[in-house]
Amino acid sequence: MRILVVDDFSTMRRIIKNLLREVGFQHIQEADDGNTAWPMLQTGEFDFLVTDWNMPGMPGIDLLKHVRAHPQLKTLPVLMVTAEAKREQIVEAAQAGVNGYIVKPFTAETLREKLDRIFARIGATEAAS
Amino acid sequence: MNAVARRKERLDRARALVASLEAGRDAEADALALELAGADQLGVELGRMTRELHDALESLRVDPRISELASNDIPDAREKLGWVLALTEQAAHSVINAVEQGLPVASRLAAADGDCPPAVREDGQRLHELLSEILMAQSFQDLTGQAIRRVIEVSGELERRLAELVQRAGPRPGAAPKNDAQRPGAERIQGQDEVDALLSGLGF
Repeated sequence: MRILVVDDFSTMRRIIKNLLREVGFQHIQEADDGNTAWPMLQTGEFDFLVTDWNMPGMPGIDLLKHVRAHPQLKTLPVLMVTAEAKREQIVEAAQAGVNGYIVKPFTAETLREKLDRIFARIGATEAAS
Repeated sequence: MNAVARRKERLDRARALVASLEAGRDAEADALALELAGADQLGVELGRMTRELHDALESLRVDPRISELASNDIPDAREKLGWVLALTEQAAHSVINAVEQGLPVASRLAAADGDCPPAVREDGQRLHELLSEILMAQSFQDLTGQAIRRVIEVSGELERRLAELVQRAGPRPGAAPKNDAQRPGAERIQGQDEVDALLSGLGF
């Protein structure tokens, strides 16, 4: 499982990377905003995207929309990890097709739980199809 | 409408008011009375606002503090906030560096073989949990950093608007604003090495 972590704060990228490693993911790369992440994603090298919302350049919500509009990437699982906690924003992310939404500050347990849920759902969808 | 015409109109209304009162047409009298009083109040209010606006513009023109705020204090405050942002980021990275080195040590202890007393494994497990908590706590830097960036942005906007206002209100009388950072001796010393170099240059 190759994961791309997108956040404009390097401290947060390192925290998420460490947590993902703890859960057992080893192949993790970083990008500091959507503009940097988008060409990386288009190479098709990633199986999972973790992104912040509020970033200079391209924000996470736009990156999510790009991903969902791309024929090869539209089913890529996306987890949003953000300080944006307004109802309308969460609804917008859900409508844009996000697979999970975590509000900062979060605990390692929350991240584990959301990852489990996302992968369980993907597993169920693949088994059904 | 000039002053004579205005006075005539008010006089006409006042006469109509007296006539309607004498005739006992109370509703009409009330409406006319309100009209007269309202027109008057509006005039007074407009006059007051004009005076206040004039005074405000005048005080901007003569108050060197306003342009000092725009050209000196706000940029200085923004620079200081940027410094807070950089320093907290550095500190958070130092903590994460230490945690990243500590976590595998804790994991090794937690998974120590049977020769080790069980307390070592328990301590290793506990140490691992504590290090994870320290790691998670560093997320403060992202959250406070976002807030600080926003304040820097807003004060930048405020600075631009104030500068425009000062420019529009006309040139300030008196001395040019002093830029604190350009004042001799006011520049920031970077780190202990520079302090030591400065002191040794002074014969300490």
